[in-house]
Amino acid sequence: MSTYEEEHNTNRAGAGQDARRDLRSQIHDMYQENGTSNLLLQLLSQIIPESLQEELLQDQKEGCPEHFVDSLPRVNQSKLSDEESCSICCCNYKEDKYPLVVELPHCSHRFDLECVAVWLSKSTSCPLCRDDVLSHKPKIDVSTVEVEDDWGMYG
Amino acid sequence: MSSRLAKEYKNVAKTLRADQSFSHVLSLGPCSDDNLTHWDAQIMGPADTCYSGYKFTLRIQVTDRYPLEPPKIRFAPFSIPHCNIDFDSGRICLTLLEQEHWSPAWDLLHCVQAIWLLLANPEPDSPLDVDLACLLRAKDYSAHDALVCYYLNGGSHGSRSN
Repeated sequence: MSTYEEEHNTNRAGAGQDARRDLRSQIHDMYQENGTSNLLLQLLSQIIPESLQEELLQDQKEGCPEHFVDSLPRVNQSKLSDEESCSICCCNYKEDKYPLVVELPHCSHRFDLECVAVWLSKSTSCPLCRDDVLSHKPKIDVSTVEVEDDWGMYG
Repeated sequence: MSSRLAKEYKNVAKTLRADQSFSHVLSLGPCSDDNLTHWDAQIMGPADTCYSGYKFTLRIQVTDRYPLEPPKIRFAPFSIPHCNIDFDSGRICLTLLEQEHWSPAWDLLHCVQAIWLLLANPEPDSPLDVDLACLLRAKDYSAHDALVCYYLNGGSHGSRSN
């Protein structure tokens, strides 16, 4: 017996569907790339009710945004003790002549920037205490975004 | 990250010699000196459990991305009956060893320690051996222990040390 697809000369996994899937994954990628950028969030925050915003933010559990990692406070070499070492690479900080050590917010655990940057690109938790480093993120300030009354319709 | 493994290798030997709290870890080290990605460990069964007096072998495989990825750790196949361990393959159900619960601050020695603690603290709510888990859930500890002992004495690769 022939199948439905054969009788009607169609193919369920046809070209149309593939194209649609491509587009969907493109949009998905775009959203992932820009999902954490402040501008997009600010724009989105105007049209999405606050209750939904929280849910959306929680969805982005994959890693920390680059600017977050870049903005981590550096630890001055004079504040490092001789025995202190990075718990990711197990290397003593002072072994390096110019150690680049950062401190995570809230839990204040220290790591080599190089080591923790790779980890935070995939995770949002402190390797030592599992504190969610993004959970204390300041609220998005929507007051600074000007809403144009005419939505830019009249040029 | 092989430098981290080399550091662990150096420290493990020191810790095992000096720290009495790891006395149940009989050995932990790479299978051969030229390849640091495969390690073996031998642990003693915890006291006051049915595993007491038996030795168990753990096979550890470390990926290139370690310590950003957890190591793959199994017991030797057909060696240990436990509700969170698959008897046939030696696979271990321990959240720590899954990517989403792993932290690069853990090292191989502490993974082995966590597995040792799992032996004394079975978690019947996420079982790989359903029979043993059912007995624990029914609080029939004597039946559970009897079944574990039966397996340990029958098909076990572990041997009584005394």
